[in-house]
Amino acid sequence: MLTNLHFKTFSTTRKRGQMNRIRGIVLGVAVLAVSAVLGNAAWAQETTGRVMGRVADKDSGQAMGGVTVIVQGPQGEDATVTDDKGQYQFTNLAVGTYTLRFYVANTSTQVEQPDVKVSAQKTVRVNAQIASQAAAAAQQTYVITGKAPTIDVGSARLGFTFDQDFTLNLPVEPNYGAVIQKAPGAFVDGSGNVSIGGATGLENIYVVNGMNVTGLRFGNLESGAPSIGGGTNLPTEFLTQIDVNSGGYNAEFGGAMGGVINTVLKSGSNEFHGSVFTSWAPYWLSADPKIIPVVGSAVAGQHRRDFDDRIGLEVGGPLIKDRLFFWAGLAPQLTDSHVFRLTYAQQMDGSSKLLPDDTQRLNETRRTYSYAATLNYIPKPEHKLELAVFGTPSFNNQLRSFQGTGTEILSAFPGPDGNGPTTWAQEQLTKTNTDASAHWTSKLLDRKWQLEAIAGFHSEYFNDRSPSDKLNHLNQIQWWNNDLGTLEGLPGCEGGVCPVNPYYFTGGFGQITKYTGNRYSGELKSTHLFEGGGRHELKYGDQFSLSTFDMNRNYSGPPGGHGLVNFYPDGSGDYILQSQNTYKLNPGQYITDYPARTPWSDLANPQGTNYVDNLHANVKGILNSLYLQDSYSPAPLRNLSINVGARYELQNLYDAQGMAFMSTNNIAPRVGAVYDPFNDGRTKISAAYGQFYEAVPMDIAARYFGGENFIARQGVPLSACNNTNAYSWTGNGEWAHCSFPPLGSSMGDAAGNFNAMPQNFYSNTYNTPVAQSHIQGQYHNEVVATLEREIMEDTTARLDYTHRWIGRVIEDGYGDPSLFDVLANPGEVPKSALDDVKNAATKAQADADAAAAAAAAAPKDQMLANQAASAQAKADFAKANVTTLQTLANAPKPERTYDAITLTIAKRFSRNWFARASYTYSRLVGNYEGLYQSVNNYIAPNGSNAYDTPDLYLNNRGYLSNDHPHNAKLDGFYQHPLGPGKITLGLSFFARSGMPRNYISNLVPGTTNQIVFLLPRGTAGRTPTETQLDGHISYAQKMQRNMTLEAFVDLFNIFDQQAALTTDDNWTFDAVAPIVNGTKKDLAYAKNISGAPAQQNKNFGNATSYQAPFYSRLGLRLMF
Amino acid sequence: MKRLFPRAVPEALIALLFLGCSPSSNPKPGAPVLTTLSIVEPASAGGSRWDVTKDTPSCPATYADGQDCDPTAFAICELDKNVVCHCDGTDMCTPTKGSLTCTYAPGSVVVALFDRILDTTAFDTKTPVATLTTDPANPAASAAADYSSAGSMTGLVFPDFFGVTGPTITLSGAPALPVDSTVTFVLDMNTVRAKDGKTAFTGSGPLANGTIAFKTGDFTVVSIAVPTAPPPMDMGGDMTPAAPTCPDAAMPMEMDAGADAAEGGTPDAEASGDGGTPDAGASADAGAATPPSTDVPANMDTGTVTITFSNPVEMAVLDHITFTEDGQPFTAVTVKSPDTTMMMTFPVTTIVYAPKTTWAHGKTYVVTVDPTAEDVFGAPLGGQGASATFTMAK
Repeated sequence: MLTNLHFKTFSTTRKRGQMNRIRGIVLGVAVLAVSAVLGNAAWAQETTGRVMGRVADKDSGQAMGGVTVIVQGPQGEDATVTDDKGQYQFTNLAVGTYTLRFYVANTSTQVEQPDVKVSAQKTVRVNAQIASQAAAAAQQTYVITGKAPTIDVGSARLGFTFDQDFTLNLPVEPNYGAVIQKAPGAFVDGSGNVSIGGATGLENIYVVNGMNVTGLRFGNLESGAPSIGGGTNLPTEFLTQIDVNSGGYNAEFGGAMGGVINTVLKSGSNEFHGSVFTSWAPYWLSADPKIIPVVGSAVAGQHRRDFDDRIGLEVGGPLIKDRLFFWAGLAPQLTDSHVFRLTYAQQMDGSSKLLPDDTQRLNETRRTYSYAATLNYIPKPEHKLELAVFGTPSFNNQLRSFQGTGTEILSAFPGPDGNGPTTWAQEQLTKTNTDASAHWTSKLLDRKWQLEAIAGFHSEYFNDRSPSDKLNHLNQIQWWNNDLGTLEGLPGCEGGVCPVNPYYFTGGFGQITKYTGNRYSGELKSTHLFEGGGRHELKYGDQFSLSTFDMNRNYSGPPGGHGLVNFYPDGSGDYILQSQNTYKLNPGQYITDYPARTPWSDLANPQGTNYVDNLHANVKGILNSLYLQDSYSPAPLRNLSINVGARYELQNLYDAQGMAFMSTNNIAPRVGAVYDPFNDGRTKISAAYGQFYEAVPMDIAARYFGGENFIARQGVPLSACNNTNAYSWTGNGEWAHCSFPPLGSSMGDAAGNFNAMPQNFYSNTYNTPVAQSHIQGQYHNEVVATLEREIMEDTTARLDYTHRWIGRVIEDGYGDPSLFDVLANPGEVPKSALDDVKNAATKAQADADAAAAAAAAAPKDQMLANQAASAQAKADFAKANVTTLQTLANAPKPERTYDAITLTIAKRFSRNWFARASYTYSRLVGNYEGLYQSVNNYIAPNGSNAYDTPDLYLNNRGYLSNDHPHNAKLDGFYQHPLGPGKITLGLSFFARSGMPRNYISNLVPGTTNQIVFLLPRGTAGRTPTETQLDGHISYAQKMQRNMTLEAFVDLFNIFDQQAALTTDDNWTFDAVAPIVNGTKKDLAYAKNISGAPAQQNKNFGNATSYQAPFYSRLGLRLMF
Repeated sequence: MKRLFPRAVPEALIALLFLGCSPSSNPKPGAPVLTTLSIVEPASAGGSRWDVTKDTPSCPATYADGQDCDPTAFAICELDKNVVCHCDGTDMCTPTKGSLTCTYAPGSVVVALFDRILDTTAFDTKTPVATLTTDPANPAASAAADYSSAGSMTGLVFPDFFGVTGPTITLSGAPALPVDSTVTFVLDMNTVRAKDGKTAFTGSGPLANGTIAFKTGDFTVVSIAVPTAPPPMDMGGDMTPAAPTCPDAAMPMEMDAGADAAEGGTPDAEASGDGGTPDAGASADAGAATPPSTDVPANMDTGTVTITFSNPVEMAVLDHITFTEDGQPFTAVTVKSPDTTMMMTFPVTTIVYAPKTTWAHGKTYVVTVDPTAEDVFGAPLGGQGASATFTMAK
C-alpha cells in the first residue's frame, strides 16, 4: 500500500509590498495574500510538515492582516502574508529547525521566533503578538524567547516521532526497525516486527520518503531473522526522522491494520553537512546468552557474538544554492557470530546432562551494505522535485539447524565435498532490497491548488540455499522420533537417551526458496483550498501499485527427484517411508484426469506430465485506492477541524495462471475532529473513527494459488526399497529407488495410526473454486481520542485512548473430511457466495451423472470411463466446497479487540535535557491473532491455522499473545559541558507484562500441528515481566569550525536481565481434542485420540527464548 | 488549572472503556446433557460400537433375542427397559433380513458421552460414579469409570477422523464383566455433575436415568495368532476382497475390508470356543484360487504366538496352555507378554508366547488352550478348548 507525500497550498487574498530584506524568490511569494487559515489541516504523512499560526496585535488582541511571515530553514526561505484574520500557513516544509520572522507593513518592526521544529506529518501552531504602534516608533526587532509549541494540532492521529536527537543520544540499535519499538505501547512480537495497537508485527506498513517499502511476501520489515526476507530497513544515520503512526489516519492513508511507519531520508541543505561514523560491538563486551536446553530433546544451541562492526559516511549539501541539493550515504555492516551445538542426555529424573565432548561450532557471517542518496531540486518555492534511491544488499551465511550435524554421522552419511556437518547446518542467504522514488510537488493557482505526483519502485531479491551446491542436489531425509545414539552413535547417548524431536535431518539441504518481488507504485494527489461556510481543504487522489512476485521453491534432490524423505519408526522396529513433492496441476485438472498415471508413476518417470522438480509461482497483485476527504473549519470556529473522508480500495490478487482469485472492493470511511480550545497550539482535543483495510501480502497468492500441491506417500515399508538399511543411505535420490505400491492400498496398522493412511495422499490446493466468491477485504474499526496539553514550556502531557476491533478477516479453512481448502471470509460468508458453490456443486454432479451414464453405455470405452471418474472427482470436490464454505460461514466471527489508554509526558530537548515517559494499559482479547500466529510461530498472512478446522475454533477465545497489559517506557538524556566538549548521558528503560501462555496439543499425530487449544486461550499464566535498562555515554568535542568528534558507548541490557520471552506451551505432543472451557484440573483427565491418558511434555512451561543478554557498542562519529 | 472533569469521572470512564475486555471461558452453564450411551466391544471382538441416544426406540413387542428383525427399520433398540439389542443384517442381498442380537462380548465397555465437561471431584477422590449390577448376582463385579475431558462434537478432525466427540466416561467392569450375564450400569446422579459441583446431569428418552443394560457372551478364546507366511509380493498388499454380487443387485456394495492383512504380519486365526479347529496361517482367508504354501518361512522362526481371550484371565491360565512339536510336548517357549515376573500385570486378555530360541525348521507346532482354562471369575472355557497349528518351512 502506498503512502503519500502531501503538500498543502494556501491562499493569499491580498497583496502586500515587498520587503527589502527578502530575496527575490520570496518576493514573488510575498505578493500573494492568504485567503484562509487552516484550522485543521489534515496531517500530512510523508516527508514534510507545516507551520501555521495567527498574528495579533499585542495590545488589542486584534488580528493583524497583511503581516509578512518568512520562514527560513535548511533549504532556503519561503514567505507568505497573513490574511484578514491574521492567519498564515506554510506547507511542504522539509523536516528541520526553522526561524519564523514577522514583518509589519510600512514599519521596520520585526518579531522573530527561532527554533521551530518541523516534523513530517505534523502541524505546529506558532502564533505571534506584535505591538504594532510601539514597534513602529521603536523601529526594533523582538525575539520571542518562548519556545514554539510542538503539539500537532493538525490531526487526530496517534503517533510518536523520533528525530536525530533521539537516535544519536540514546542507546538504540542503529536501524529504524529497532527504533520504532520505543513508541508507547509498541513492542517486538514473535514475528520479529513491532506490534502496534494490538495488531501483529506483520500489519504495519513501512514508508521511506513517501514510498511503501513493506516486505512484499509477508508484509514485514527486514529484521535479520534467518530464512526470511522483508521490507527495507535503513540505518538511522540515513534518516532525519522516524515517525510511528499508531492510529487515527485520514482517508488518504491505508493499507495498514497496525501502524504506519514513516521515515524521511536526509536531504541536502545550503550548507555541507555530514558525518563519518563507525561502531564496534566486540564479544568481550557482551554476556553469553542463556542456553535453552529442552527436556526431552538432546540438541541445543548457544549463539555467541564475535563482532558487529559498522562503518559509514553520509554527506549532503548544495549543488546550486537554494535550488539543487544532494545527500548520499553508505553504511556497510559486518557481523560475525558463532553457534555452539550442545548435546544432552536425558536423565531418569527428567533432567538433562550436558555431554561436554560433543560441542560443535558453526561460524556465521552477515554482510549488509546499506546505501541511500537523495537529490532535491527546487526551481521555485512552488515547485519541488525529490529523487531518492536506496537499498540494502545483504549476504549471509548462518545457522539453519543443528538437528543434523553430528560428526559421527559422517561415517554413515558422508558429507558432500568433504565439508562436514557444519556446512550442512548452514544456509546461504542473499537478501537484496532496491528502492527508488521520485516526488514532484507543484503549487498552482495562487497556491490554492497543489498537485503531487509520486512514482516508486521497490524490489526484493531473496535466495536461500545451501552454500554447498552438492547439498542442493541431494534429497533431505527427516528422521522422526529418533535419537543421537542411533543416528550419530554419540557416546553417552546409548539406549535412546538423546532424543531428537520432532525429527533429525540428514542428506541434502531441504527446501530451497528463491524469489524476486517488485512493487511499482504511483500516486496522483490534488489538494484544494477554498472557503464555503468556513475553510475547506479538499483532497482527493489515486494510489496505484502493481506487485509482481516470482518465487521458485524446490526440495533439494537430483534432477527429476526433488523431494523429502521421512522415516517414522512404526513401532515394530521397521521404518516407514514418506516423501512429498510439489505437484503441479493446471486449472481444471484433477488427479483423476490421469488415471493411467498415478502421481507415483509420474515420480518414477521424471518426465511425467504432472510432477515438477521446481514449483514456479509467478503471481501478481494490483492495489488501486481512490480517496476523497475534506477538512473543514467552520467560519466561527477556526480552531476546530472536522475531517470527513472515505477511501475506496480495490485489491486484486492473481494466481499463477494469471486469473484473479481475489478481487475486493473496500470502502473505508474516516471521520474525525481536532479542537485547539485556546487557539494557541498548546492544547489539543481530538477524536476519530475509521475503518482500515489490510493490503494482503503476496504470500497467499504464491503459496496457495501458485500451483502448489502436496503429495505424500505414506505407510510404505522400508522393504519396498532396494536398500532396506536406511542407515546406509547416502541421501542421493533414494526414494526413487523404492517401489510404489498401488494407489489406495493400505499398508499400515489398522489401529488408527495416521501413518496407515493410503499411501498416496494428495492435497490439491490449486484447482478452483478454492476462493470464496464475493470475498471482501480484511479490516478493523478504530476509535481514538486524545487530550494533549503543553503543561509547561517544552513539556507536553498527553492521554490517548484507542479502541480497535476486527470487522472481517480473510483466512483459509476446511470444513469437509476431504480437506479441500477454501479461502474465505470466515464468520461472514455472504449468502451469494454460498449460493454460488451450491449451484456449482449441482452442476458438477449433473455433469458427473451424464458422464457416468455415457460410460455405462459404452463399458469398454476406457476414455469415457476416465472422463466419468474425473467428472465425479470434480463433483465431489464441488460438494466438499459447499460443506467447507458452510462451515466457515457458521464459524465464530473473528474477534480481536484492543483497548488501550496511554499517558505520555514528553519534554523536548532544551536546557540540556530530554525526556519521554509513557505508560500504556491495554487489553487484547479475541480469537484471531492476525497475520502472525504466535502459538506455532507461523508466518502465513491470511493463511494461518485459525480457521483450518472447526476443532480449532474451540477454546480459541481469550487473551491474545500480544496482550501485554502494562507497558512503561522512559527515555532521556542529559548533556553537560565538560572540559572542551560536552558529555551526554542517556538512559532508556522499559518494563512490560509478559505474554499470555497456553496449553497446546497436537491436531494430527505424526505431525507438528501443535495448534490445538487444549484449554481456553491464554489460561496458562504469563511469561515473566520483562524489564531492561540501556545506557549511552558519549563525549563530543569541536575539532574546528563546524566539525565535531564524538566518542560513545552504548550499553544494552545493563543488568543482563535475560527473562523468558516465550515458553514451551506444548502441554502434550499427543493428538488431544480441546477440553472445551476446561481448567487446569481437567488436564488430568485429558485423553488422546486412542483413549489413553495424554502424555505430558516434560518441557512444558520452560523457556524457549530469552531477552538478548548484555552487550555494548563502542563508536566514533565525526560530524560536520 | 481548572479541572476538566469531576474527580471520579476519569476512573469511571476507564472502567467503562475496558468493561467486557476480560474473556470468559466458563463452561456452558446448566446441567450436562448425556447425549449418548455406547456399548463398545473390544477390538479383538471386532470393535463394534452401538449408540443409544434419546431417540433410540423400543424394540417391537414381538422381538426377542436371536429372532429375526428388520435392519432397515432400526439398527438398535431397547428390548426391555435399558436392555440394548441390535439388529444385524444377515443377507446382503436382502437388506430387510436380519437377526436381533442382545449379547455383547464380555470385554465390552460403556461410553457415556456428555455435551460439556464435568466436575472432576468424584474422579479426583475416586468416588464411584456408576454402579454395576449383574444378573445373576454372582460373580460380583463393580463399575470402573475412566473420565476423558477432551473432545467436542463441533470439531472436524477429532470427531470425523478419530471419533473423539466430547467428554466421556468409560465404564467397565472391575475386574471385568462376568460372562453370560445381564449387566446394568447406572450413572450416579450425585457424582456426575456440572462444573458447578451441584447440578446433576440430565438425559432424555432411554438416557433419562443414565442406565444401560446388556447381556454378555461366553468366555472364549477369540483368536490364536501364529506365525504365518506373508502374502505373495504380487498381491501388492491390497487385500480388499471383491464385493459379492446379488442376483438382481442394482448397485455393487462396498465391503468393509475388515482387518487388513498387514504385509509380513500375522493375521488372526479364527478360534472357536466350541472346540472347533481354527484355521491357521495363510490358509485362513487369502481368497486366492491357488493358495501358496502355508509353511512359515524359515526366516520367521522367531515369530510369536498371540492368544486372545474374550475376558481377562489370571496367571493360572498359563497352566492350561500347551505347545506340541510334531506331536510331542514342547516347552521351549516363553511368555513374552505380559511380564510373568510381576503378578500385577494380570489379569489380561492377551498372552504372547515366543520360542526360547527358534521354531525348528520343518516342524509342526500346535498351540492348545484346554477347556478347563478359566477367566478371572472362574468361568471355564468349556467345550474342547481351542488350538492352532503352524508348520515351519524346511
